[in-house]
Amino acid sequence: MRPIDLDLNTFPEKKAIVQKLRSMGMPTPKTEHYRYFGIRPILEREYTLRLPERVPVEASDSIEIVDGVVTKAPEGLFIEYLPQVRVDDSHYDQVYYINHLLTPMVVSIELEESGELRIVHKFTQNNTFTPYRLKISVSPKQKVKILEETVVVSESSLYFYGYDMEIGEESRVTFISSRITHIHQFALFGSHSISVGKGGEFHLYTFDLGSGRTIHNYHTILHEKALNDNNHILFSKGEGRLGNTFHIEHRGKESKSLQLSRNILKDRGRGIFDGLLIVKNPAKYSSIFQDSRTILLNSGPFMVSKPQMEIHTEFITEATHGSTTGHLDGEALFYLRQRGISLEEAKEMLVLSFLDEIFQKLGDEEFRREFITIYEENR
Amino acid sequence: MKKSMEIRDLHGEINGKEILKGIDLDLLEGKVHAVMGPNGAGKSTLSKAIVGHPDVEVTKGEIIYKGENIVGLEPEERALRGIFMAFQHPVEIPGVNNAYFLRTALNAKRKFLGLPPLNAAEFLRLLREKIRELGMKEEMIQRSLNEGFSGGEKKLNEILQMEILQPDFVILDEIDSGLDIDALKRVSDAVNKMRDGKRTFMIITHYRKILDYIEPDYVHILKGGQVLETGGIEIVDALEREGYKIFGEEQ
Ligand SMILES: Nc1ncnc2c1ncn2[C@@H]1O[C@H](COP(=O)(O)OP(=O)(O)OP(=O)(O)O)[C@@H](O)[C@H]1O
Ligand SMILES: [Mg+2]
Repeated sequence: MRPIDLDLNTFPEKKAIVQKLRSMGMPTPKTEHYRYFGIRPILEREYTLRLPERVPVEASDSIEIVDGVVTKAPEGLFIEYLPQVRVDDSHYDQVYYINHLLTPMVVSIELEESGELRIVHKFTQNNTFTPYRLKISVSPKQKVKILEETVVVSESSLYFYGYDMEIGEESRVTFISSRITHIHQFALFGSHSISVGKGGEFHLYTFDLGSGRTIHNYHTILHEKALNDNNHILFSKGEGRLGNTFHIEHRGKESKSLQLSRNILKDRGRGIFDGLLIVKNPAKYSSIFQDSRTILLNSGPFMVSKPQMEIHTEFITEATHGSTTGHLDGEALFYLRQRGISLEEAKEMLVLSFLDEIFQKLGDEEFRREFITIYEENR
Repeated sequence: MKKSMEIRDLHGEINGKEILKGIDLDLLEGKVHAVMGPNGAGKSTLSKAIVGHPDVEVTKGEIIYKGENIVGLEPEERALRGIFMAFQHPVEIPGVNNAYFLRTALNAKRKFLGLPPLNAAEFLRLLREKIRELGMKEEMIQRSLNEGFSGGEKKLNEILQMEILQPDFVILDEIDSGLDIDALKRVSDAVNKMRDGKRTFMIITHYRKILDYIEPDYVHILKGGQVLETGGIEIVDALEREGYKIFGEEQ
């Protein structure tokens, strides 16, 4: 990438970010959470920096963001463009800070009432590098569902984006994100910071599918009695590199985090699940749970699964983690085939049964059917 | 009499170890063949060889079914041609709904036969009727395939699948083990109802009881990977008196 000029005098707040970044260094293939992602070829490519602008917004039932520019939004939704927002000062991802540094204005959305919001990200440019960010604040005691989708038309570009999300006390946010990309030269970095207020809940469902390159790095901070429930389905194929990494920080007592990760890999696809659960000393009586399982459909793919825990308190209610990698159960496959079901169909039945726990939790039959259709097109 | 299946000099290995050592067996159309033999004789291995289980490598011999050597065929190709096996140990498959699985299997078969698929409602009607006849709990059809089923419930579920799929050649591998008296009767009734003079049964068992309910036309004794004796029900009487030592060499 070419060097980028930044005038820090315009935004003195950004100086702190530069300081932070200086202490962390730039992301390299040695950076723990990028170690298996293949970051070098992505960063070494030539891009033109393309900063998103503000344009008139068309009324629509969902927010549409085209190459970082908000083009559509529901009427009555309160959107602001802020040159600077409060930055998480303990994120582990350098891209988080680079993204904040380069993003000229953060799209800020306040959700004061319960409801549903759909966000569609479209990526259309070629050979560009686009940073953009969103900030979502959810008022206390609300129930919000956010559906996120990506549409990739771009063939070779780099995008940095991410959410700074503040979930008010006793609010519940369900965030369902499907990220489907088939383009090998396309790379998306998501770098998110989520703060869950006292008694609040953040339920995350991610569906990563395809042969592109996407990585999402989540830093979640849980206050007293807060919950983070993460569920990930990942299907990496071709030369795909798909990953999710986390630091979930339990700061308040009786906070709870659960992570389920179900990965299916084929061809030379790679999947990354790297989750660190940190229980700070004040977070007594917290419980943490991690379960990552992977099915390899042939012998080429590679799963990096690193469930990790770091516990700084003596009083912990529950701490469980596990990770398994294997092939489809041969006896189960045979059983289905003995009943006349073709090998392909039998495999698909077993794959879907492997994912079932997450779909059950999500409890959205329509979404499940859509996913199956997409899976069938890609298997 | 017409042969449904003809097994000729069948040799089969599991993990490089020869288990089937030249099986010769004719299974006649419309007849019930009981296969008995001591533990480890190769009964399950023989049935696995017939249905094409990948663990069993056939090294020699043939299995002629409806005039075709099926040794090279995929398991699903054999199943679609009408061969069904009730497993000695049915696997649990969490997340695969029992009814959905059965409808998929039935429609695969109907497609193979050039018939239109059954829709969910038509299928459910058929399924409910069979479930009632077998004395199974209705909720079992909406549960995951065999998951958490008791030993006997798993066996009943195998019979349910047989009734839905209406195969031409049925292998029941120790269907009687784990069944209570009432369930054994219902299973036997289901089998007897399907005896139509065309369909062939191979019933693997250790016990006489099931053969009182489903009277076999032939009894075969398998031992050491070979068929040592073929006869009628009188063989079972001798067996009950003397044990397997009267058949073949002491091993
Ligand atoms: N997967 C396997 N790996 C190694 N050996 C096996 C395997 N399956 C079967 N065998 C061996 O093959 C032989 C025959 O087993 P098989 O299951 O066919 O016997 P069986 O006649 O069905 O016995 P049972 O009455 O106990 O069910 C046994 O010695 C058994 O240990
Ligand atoms: Mg056996």
